[in-house]
Amino acid sequence: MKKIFITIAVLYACISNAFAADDITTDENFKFGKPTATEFSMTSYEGDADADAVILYDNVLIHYIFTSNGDFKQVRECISRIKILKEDGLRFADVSFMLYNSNTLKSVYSGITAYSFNTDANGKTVKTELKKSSIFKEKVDDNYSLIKFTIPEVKVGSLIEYRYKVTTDDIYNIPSLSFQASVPTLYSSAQLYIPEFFRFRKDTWGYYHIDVQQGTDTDQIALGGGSYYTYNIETVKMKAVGIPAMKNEQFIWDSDSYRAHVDFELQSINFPNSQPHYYSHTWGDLFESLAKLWDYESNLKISNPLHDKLAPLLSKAETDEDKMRVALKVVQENIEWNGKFSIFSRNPKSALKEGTGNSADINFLLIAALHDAGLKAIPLLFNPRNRQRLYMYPSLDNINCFIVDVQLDPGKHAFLDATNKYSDINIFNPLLMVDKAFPYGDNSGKNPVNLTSLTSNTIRSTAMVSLNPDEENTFDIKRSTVHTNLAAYLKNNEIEQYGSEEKYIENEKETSVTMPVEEMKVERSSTNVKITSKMSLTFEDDGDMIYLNPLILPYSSIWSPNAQKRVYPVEFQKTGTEEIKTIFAVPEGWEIVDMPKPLRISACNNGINAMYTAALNNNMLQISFSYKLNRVMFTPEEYNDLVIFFKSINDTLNSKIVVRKTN
Amino acid sequence: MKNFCCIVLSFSAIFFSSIFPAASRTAFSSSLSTGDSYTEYAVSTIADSLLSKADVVVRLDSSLVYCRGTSGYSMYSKEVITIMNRIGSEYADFQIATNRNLELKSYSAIILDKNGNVVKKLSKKDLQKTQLSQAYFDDYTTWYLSKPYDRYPYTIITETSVVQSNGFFSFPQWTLPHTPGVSVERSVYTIYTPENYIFNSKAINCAPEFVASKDGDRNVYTWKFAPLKSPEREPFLMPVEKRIPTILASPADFNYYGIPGNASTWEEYGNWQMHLLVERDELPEPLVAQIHALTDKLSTCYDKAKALYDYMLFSTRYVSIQIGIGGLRPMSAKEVFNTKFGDCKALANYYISMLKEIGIKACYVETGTDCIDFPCEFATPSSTNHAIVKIPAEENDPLPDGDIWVECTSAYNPFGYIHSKIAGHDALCYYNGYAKVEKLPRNLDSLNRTVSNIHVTISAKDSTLMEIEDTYSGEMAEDLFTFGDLSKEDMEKYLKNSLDLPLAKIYDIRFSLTGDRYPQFKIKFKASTPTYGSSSQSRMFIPLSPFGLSAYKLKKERHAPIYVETGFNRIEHITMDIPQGYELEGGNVNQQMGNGFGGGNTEIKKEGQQIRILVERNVSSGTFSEKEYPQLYKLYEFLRKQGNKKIVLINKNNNTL
Repeated sequence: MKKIFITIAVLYACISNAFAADDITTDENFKFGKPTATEFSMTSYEGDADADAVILYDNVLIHYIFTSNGDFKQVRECISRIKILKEDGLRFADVSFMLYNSNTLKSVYSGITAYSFNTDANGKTVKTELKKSSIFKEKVDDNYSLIKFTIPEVKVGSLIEYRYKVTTDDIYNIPSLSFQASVPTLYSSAQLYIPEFFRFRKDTWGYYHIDVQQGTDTDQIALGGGSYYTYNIETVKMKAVGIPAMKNEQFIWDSDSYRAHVDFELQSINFPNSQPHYYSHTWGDLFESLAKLWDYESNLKISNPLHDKLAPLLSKAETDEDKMRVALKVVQENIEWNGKFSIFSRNPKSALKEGTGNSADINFLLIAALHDAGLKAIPLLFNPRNRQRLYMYPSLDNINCFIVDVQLDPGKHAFLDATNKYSDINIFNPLLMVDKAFPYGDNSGKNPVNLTSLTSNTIRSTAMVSLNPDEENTFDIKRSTVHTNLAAYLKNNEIEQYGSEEKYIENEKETSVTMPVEEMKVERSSTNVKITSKMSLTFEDDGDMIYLNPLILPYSSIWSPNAQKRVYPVEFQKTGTEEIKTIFAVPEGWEIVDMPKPLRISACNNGINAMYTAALNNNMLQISFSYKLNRVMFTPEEYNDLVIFFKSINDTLNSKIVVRKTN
Repeated sequence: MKNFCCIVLSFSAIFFSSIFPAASRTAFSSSLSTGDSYTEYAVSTIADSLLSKADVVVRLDSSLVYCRGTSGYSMYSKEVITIMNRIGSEYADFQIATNRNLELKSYSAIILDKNGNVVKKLSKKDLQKTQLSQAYFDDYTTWYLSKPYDRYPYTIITETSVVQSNGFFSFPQWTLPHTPGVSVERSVYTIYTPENYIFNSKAINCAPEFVASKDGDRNVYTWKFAPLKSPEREPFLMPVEKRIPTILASPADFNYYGIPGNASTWEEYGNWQMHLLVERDELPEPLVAQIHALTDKLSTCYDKAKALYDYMLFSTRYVSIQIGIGGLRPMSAKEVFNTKFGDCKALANYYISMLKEIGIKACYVETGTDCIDFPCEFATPSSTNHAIVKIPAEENDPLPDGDIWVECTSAYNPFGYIHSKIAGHDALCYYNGYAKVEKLPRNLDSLNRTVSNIHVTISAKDSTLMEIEDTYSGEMAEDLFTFGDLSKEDMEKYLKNSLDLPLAKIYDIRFSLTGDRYPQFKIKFKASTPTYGSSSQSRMFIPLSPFGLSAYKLKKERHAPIYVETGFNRIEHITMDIPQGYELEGGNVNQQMGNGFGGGNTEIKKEGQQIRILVERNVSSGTFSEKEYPQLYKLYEFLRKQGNKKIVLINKNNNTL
């Protein structure tokens, strides 16, 4: 992380230079409704010529007020000044923000003011104000409303500016503050004034520097009769200058993890003369909060509602592995996942009765079944890969999921998840294969589990190719492919997407473009999927020559990186090996006249490697290809090596085997 | 999700029995509150013919509309749908958009397992609702439920009721979800009307059993459909409006938002709509001055209209706000001028108002992006969803190419160009005092054209260099209208993708978009790529064209008629410099084919160290019988082989293993 930051710091310096420091509007010189001459005249942004808009100034002020009712309220004031540079940048003229309201927490907005600034034919600045009739409120659901306003007189070249205020009873949450957007941000700042009664932890994310200055101040509450209660205020002032646009890159599970932003999590509430409340201060606190607030312990200790179904299977299970598998199977067969990850269960037994539930419902049932089987099982907590990555320190806000950690012999663990019917021991949805997961009850928090590479995942294909004696210009291909472990899980789920095995086979027969599938058979379990197929390759009679793919079989699963540079890490789905062996019986009257060159390549400290050979022995052409990924994450510095690696493989796989008729 | 669910609901037994005659209650006499088993809906009771290729079997799709006259109707619906697998799961979703005139009175559903046992019950409180608009802002509330259950197969029985008030244009359109993957077992649509109530109806793409009867003082009209098994998944299917079984029903007289009208013909409906356009054209003084400043020195009607179009594009933006009758009535020209935004109706009205100021006569036009041909005798705004402008040639100075049709919502569409989302579609044109349905012009296939001149220099050791000059015309140019607004990086990415050369470096990009009604996009650029084609130890395999020439691999059998929406021409002249010592393996090539669906031509000729290649392919638009399918198959096989063809260069000095 440190190394990456240095690289980015240099980039940041370059970008900052593109817009002279004196021209940047800052907290010190910002005046609402009065853009600078430089901002008016700006027609493009040197730091990013592609930008369709530039955020010139962005500020959030969060503070607390003590009301006459004796309550605190949180006030959030937002201001933005944006220059529209291209047609697509007009989207910034449509502004929206959410309001949360419930029976107990109320939020209101106020003070929406917005202007557009344009220059007329005489060079005079025309300032147009937003009308109230252009402000709309939409109730999104029972709790959330979307406030929208669309700024008038906005076209390419316009400068827009707006501000609004949200006042809320929800004093225990501070929203995430973003310092990076889809367009460059020249200056972004935030000031927070937090009464001493609330302690929030601040988590800074992303690849760009956010300057954070903390201090203290005081404020007073009038107690009546001319007396006051004085209390401390924590001041947090944050700013970021010259932050580039957040651009999409391939192979990233959650781009938000790399966006420059600050998250806040409540750690404690401590009012005078009241018992303090601590939240997730340590891992122990976090587990305690979890147990209390969500009745976690009672969920963990429920009797197995599937006992009657499990018991007969357990009687035949001899090993711990057998027991885990039957417990998993019984849960998988009796409840379907509703697609939602959660650490909260309304009631696992009710979910079972309904036949459907979230990940917590299902994995609590799994824990109950494993306990019933005499195994020690606890939740393993984390955030799925498509949600923000976890820090090492405890944060309940960032934990959205758990699977089951089965503690076997000392130091030996197995990991299970029952949300998918094709999961198995250490085999489950790749979204759950995170590099840091925390066992429930490990108060040290120092033993996170890496789930990224629990099994050896392979796809092995063998194919026999021979000339069809009955049909001219046609080769018969008999192919067998075995998917193992996570590869089997993925194949099983791919087949599931077609609705049935028959439909999958039907689709394969209908859609194969280059090599029509004539027969196909699928044999599968949760750890192995074997597909045997018979195909025919009809080659075009191009004179006396035939040009075949290097593997003869169609193959297209190799990545072709197409970006010149990479800012963020490359995150692959899974580790594993793919091997293809093809044996081609060169028929009588034919000869091989050309073949691809052999290839053996390794990159990124053997994080990835591949090999291709083709050898002719006694009219048998033996082709062998393998591709192995040893880890899932590669740094941006390794990107160039990946580009060269994949180019070499693609060159080989795009090559041809040339076969010629000799008579 | 089938369209119908957006409008329809079912009924509550209590509400239903209180207002319906006995005979109709018998027809809809189910109740979701009794019993724990519905064995009649067990999956095992579905006929094998309906299960074949079906992800969803609609066991029953029935609705009863109880019309109260012009003021509104109540509609009660019952659906029984068996979801066979995950692919069909969206058919269990529920969604309806209501507003102050359309109320969801009741909703209830039960879910049955594969044996017909009740596993879950749902009521209106289980629905989620949101006002989140599909447009920028509208006044609808959407009630929805998604993925109510996950264990397949299962059956969902849904009963709903809705009440429409404050007038309506037409009865809900009855559409059978008869699409690939969906079989329909039983479908019934019933309309109750007062005596002497006149309405038109028409069955499209189907021939249901129709019965007209009496129930007390009510007329009863019923359409019943025979079982339909899931159609095949095939490309080139006819548009939905010409394929899906549909019942249309519209009253002759209507009263919408208190404004009476008649929809017995499109012209009559147009007369009603014209009232909504009255007094929307007043222009503020500054705009009047601006209009004259822009146009007074121009001499022709065309130039003046174009100048105002350019001004409108530059100074306004598209924002869709649909509230109440505002869903049909445009914002006034004055409001658009003040805010500088509007939806298609508002911008069309704004443009017409500006034209009027300088004496150019133009008319407001309604058309539909989802509807090619308006259903005759069924005038309804549900066929239209877009407004544009027509400047008629006969009412203005001679226009060089006849009428001008103007799309007002796109910042990129050239003046007068009719883009492919509406070209060839029916349009209702509002002239001074009358309305008329006309057909928007569509380009001839021959005008949708791409011509490329490409020079490729192949090197045995270094990168391959290319100089490319493309001209895209007509609909082929549409995707490139926004090219000039792309970032340099995105331009390069676009060109790299079109060349299918991810590692190429693209440079010297120059381009222009010319022509209004017949736009031409010309682009010149150079590319350098370390990989082009592939090589073995002594051969190079070079694609026929650097552009990916792909074509579907079609199935050999065909069941449904064929519809080719867009015809086009593509011509590539490629000159290839090949490295010293290499020869063209296989010699010169000359292959052609052609039939009613189009044709192709490939010529490869070696001249010294150069190979000259001509690649031509053309596809004709139109509707064809499935019997003609072998010809389409033949064409696509030719094009597919043409796309896969490689130029093979052999190194004469190293041609053995």
